[in-house]
Amino acid sequence: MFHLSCNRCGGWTTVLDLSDPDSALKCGCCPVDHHHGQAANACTGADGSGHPGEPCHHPDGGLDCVARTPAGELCSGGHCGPGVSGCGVCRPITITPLSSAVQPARG
Amino acid sequence: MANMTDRTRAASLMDFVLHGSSAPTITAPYKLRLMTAAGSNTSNGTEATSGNCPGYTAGGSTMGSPAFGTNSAGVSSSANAVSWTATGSWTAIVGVEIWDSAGTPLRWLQGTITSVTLSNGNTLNFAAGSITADASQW
Repeated sequence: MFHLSCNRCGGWTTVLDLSDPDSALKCGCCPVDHHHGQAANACTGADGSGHPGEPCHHPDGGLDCVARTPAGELCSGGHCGPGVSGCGVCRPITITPLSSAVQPARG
Repeated sequence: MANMTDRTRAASLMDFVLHGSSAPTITAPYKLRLMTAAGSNTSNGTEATSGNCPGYTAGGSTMGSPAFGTNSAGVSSSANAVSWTATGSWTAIVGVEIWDSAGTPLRWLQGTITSVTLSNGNTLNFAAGSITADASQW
């Protein structure tokens, strides 16, 4: 079992199935009916180094999404802000395995 | 004794307790490593890399000192949180291993977890107390 929480508002849930954690967590941060991890995963600069000096390549620009890093903060490889033209990254979440998930394996 | 511990490490502890050998040297801190293929008590898993799990650094992250709290009813629980934030899409994590910080690090504990795949920007957090070592499994 896993605890999922929104890094922005603190909204949380617990799930057994982690096949799509970005969709499993419902909170009020992003009112747009779209996948909340797809844009982040599609970021061409998401290789650990960000995309300094390079514009966001997300096709819809993500202009309706409000769940982003505040304007003025550095992009960490996909997490820009409302003031960054074309940035389409949504809501980062924290995944916490609960104790039952990390018991050492039996032989 | 089941498969929680690396058998080589277990053997060194047994020699200390049963044979009069010197206590094994453990160089702190313990580090938590993430595995994309689980190991066993006799073989290492395949560790994640910064390539297939951007935001992760090979060698793992410190669990602090002490890494575990005092044993209670046969169970030792991790004392500190350990977390990573993905800076790109991750390959699935299916296991964890606990290694020491010796010049040539030694693996002490291993276990499987339910598969976790991070999207870019998401954080994987092992909260304090979430990693347990149960004496009944040694």
